[in-house]
Amino acid sequence: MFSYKTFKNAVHSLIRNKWLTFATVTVMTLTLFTVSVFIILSILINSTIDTVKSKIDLEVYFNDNIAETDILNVKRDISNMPEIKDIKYISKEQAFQDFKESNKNDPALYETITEKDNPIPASLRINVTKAEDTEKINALFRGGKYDAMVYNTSYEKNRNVVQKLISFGGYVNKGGIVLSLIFIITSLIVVLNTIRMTMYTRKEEIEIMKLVGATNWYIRWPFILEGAFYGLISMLFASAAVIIALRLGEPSIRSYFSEFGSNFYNSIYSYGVMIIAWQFGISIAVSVVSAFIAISRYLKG
Amino acid sequence: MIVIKNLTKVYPPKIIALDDFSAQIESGEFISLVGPSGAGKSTLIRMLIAQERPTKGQILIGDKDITRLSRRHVPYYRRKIGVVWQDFKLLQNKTIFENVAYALEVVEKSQAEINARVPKILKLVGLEGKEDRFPRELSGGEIQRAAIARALVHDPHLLIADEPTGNLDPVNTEDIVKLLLKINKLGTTVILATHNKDVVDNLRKRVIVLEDGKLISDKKLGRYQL
Repeated sequence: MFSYKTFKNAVHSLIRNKWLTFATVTVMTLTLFTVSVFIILSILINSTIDTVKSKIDLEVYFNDNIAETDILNVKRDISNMPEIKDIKYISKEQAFQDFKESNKNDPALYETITEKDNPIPASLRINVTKAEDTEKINALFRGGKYDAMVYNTSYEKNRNVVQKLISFGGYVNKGGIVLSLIFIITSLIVVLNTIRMTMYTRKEEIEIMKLVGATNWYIRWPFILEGAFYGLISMLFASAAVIIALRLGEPSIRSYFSEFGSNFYNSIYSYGVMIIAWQFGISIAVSVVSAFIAISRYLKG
Repeated sequence: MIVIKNLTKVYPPKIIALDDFSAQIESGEFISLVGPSGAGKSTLIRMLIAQERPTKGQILIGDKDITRLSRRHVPYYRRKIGVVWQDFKLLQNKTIFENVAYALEVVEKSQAEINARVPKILKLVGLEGKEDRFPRELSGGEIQRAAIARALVHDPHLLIADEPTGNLDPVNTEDIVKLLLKINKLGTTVILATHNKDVVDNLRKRVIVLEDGKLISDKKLGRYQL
């Protein structure tokens, strides 16, 4: 039933109907390109959110009566926790210098305090691996085993921002899935119509096949194979276009978006193969399913 | 032998295309099916090739009623008959060789068998040397020969020709009819539906006349008469 001849017939018909092949492949390539651009944009948004989230520190302010060695012990104790990416100790003196530095244009403000009666507490600036872990780390200092040493933390102040970012990331992901589905359904409809058009121009051919005694599967196979070719060729074009665009844009995106740009390209490179594999699978599935649906109406009777 | 019993086709709401038609066709016969447009010739032919089902009645070939064939079995039945149409129905994007070969590919014959059989049948219909032409590059008569070659290549017991000369000039018409007679002599049953009085009168074969879906006459040595 499925033989070299079926394959040969499919290729022949692709070549002999080259204008229809061209039209179908163009429509599919544009659709797939749009889907790819959308997926890349959602990666860009996600990697931006991740970058922003990684920038949110948890600052823990210690009581003035706690010795520096004790704070450094705390730092040593927790620095191995997987939730913590980085910890920095900021002494009272350092904090004072930083304060002076950031307010150097406002002498009225920094002249009110001197090194001697420096009210700024020593602190640990903690960089968490995932923004979601901030609360857990904060709990160590508020109500947890270090509670007695701690004067205050920045958690309350930053909590709203962190939670908003986390939920925004969630929306982007959920929205991404919904939009991807919409795009897949759209491309299914577009491809279905294109293949149906192809078949409409060949309905006489299908009728003749039936009249000389071809079984339905014998007629179906070349069309389904053609559909698979459409999917494959369009995907190659669309992927090539996306890859070229990304490579050409890399230097400017990296310099313009600096750290965001780098994170974006890291995500693209780590997900790239998977994205392309998925798109290949989906585009071939979409075109094969479309071909199958489109041909069934010509096989009745 | 083909036995047609009380064949009736009614299209909704009340158009009677064929009305209680019965006939018996022996193996090796040559039958002309004549009648004006709308007499029911095409309806009868569509039922003979299992393209349509009758409202009532049977078409028995051997012991099988082909009006009751399941959709899955229709292709296998069509492989046992050959059909020629007024509009030829050749695949425009395939060469003459490929068009004829197609009827064998469908029944999954080997390439060696196809290469042996197709040139023989093209020679029989007088198209040797034109294997690589496309249908648009041939004359009407040549296209119809190609269509006949396709109908014959799988060696059917029954050849049905629906107005095969309808689009042809008198010279080509005569050639096609001669070809059909030659095929009949080689043992194939031929059913020829036609409008053409001269064709029928020169044949000196059995003639079945239809009018308004009814059988008007059935004569062993008939002439075209309405």
